[in-house]
Amino acid sequence: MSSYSFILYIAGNLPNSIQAVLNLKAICTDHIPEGYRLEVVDVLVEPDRGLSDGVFVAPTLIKLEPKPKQVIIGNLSNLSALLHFLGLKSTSSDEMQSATQ
Amino acid sequence: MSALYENSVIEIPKAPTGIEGFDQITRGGLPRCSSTLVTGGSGSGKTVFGLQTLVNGSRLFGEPGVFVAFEERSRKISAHVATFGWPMTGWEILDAMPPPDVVAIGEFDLAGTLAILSAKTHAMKARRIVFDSLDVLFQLLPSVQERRREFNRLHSWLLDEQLTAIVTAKLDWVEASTPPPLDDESLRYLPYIVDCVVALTNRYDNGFSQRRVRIVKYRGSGFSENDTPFVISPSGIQVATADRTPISKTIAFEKISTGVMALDEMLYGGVLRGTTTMITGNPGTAKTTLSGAFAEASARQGDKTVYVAFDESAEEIVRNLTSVNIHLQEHIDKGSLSMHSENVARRCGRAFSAH
Repeated sequence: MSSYSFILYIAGNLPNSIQAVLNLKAICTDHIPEGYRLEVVDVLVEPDRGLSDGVFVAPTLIKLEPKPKQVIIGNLSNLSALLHFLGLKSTSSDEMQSATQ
Repeated sequence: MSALYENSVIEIPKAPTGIEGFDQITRGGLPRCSSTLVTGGSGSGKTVFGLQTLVNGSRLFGEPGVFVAFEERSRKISAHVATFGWPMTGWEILDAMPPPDVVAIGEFDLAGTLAILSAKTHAMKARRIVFDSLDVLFQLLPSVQERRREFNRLHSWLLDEQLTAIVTAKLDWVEASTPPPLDDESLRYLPYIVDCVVALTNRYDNGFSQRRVRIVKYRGSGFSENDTPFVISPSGIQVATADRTPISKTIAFEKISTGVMALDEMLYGGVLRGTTTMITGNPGTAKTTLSGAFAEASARQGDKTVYVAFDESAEEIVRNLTSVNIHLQEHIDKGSLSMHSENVARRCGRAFSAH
């Protein structure tokens, strides 16, 4: 019974934006097996959406659920920091992955 | 050295600020379609300078503008603008303040930010833009290399968009022409990238505020190289000449009591509603007592009040303050005061240690 719900604001196919999508999807697949909700908003396509949501940096990840709402900016490339921040537990395969990086 | 430096008659195109005196010392205003860095410590007038340039751009020169607010909410800035009686038409404020609890994980860049701004400036046909203050955003960038890269990105975006820009930053070493302190090291390249650097200072001399403006550099233009005094009057910044009237003490906002009568007198009636006041002092200098007095006064006059404590429990504070005749319990019982104590270091150590 997953209650994870995210909005990810990206800027087209710029490297940090692509990286953020890949990193988020990977971590969700590995750590939220019960599924999650993710909406991706491209501010190059919908600039007004960024303005009205008060988002000025891309990539920006907003975790809506579970509460509290949290805002993270960046390409999410630090796996252990992201796990920690989202309150997810790291697995032994994560540690091997970061050890090889 | 370019021909422009040798021949002071041919000068680059300028965008007048409409600020009395400033356009004289810069021989016409800011470099048009280029960027100007406005530096100074807190309270030096950077925000007012930016706002006034936008307001004048719109009402005097028909150039719409955008104020990108990284440091304060737009509501506060509008209130600030209202105290000067400036119109809010022909220019807009964009709320770009990062959420206070935002965390940076991995790299990011300003490409998305600039895409959003492009949409806004095109829609408004904006010719002027102010970034206030850039260091708020740049603090989220972890390395010097990234800050430099992103500032270059911003600079070339401004050129592409043909915008006349003001970027404010809290760098007080620029004015003194000394090397930056270590924690500002990462911003030391800023003055080199921009075409014009304006340093604002506010010093105290025998109890009098001495505001000064100095043009530190201006590529492609002559300028007055000396410090020039200025005041922030009820109608905005006025630069130079000796016989100006002193800064007005008229307060346009509601003041609320600090709970200490003598202090209220010193503050002309208390602190401004909707503002933040910092109390500093060594242990035992009555910071908590002052906070308690403020909470009590606020609750007594019927304002819903929240007291957040980081190093003592609410019960201890309530008990200890009764010894100085501050009684919080009755307001807690009535529901007008709510006390919270939290151990910040434990709750979110990671976010804090990551700056």
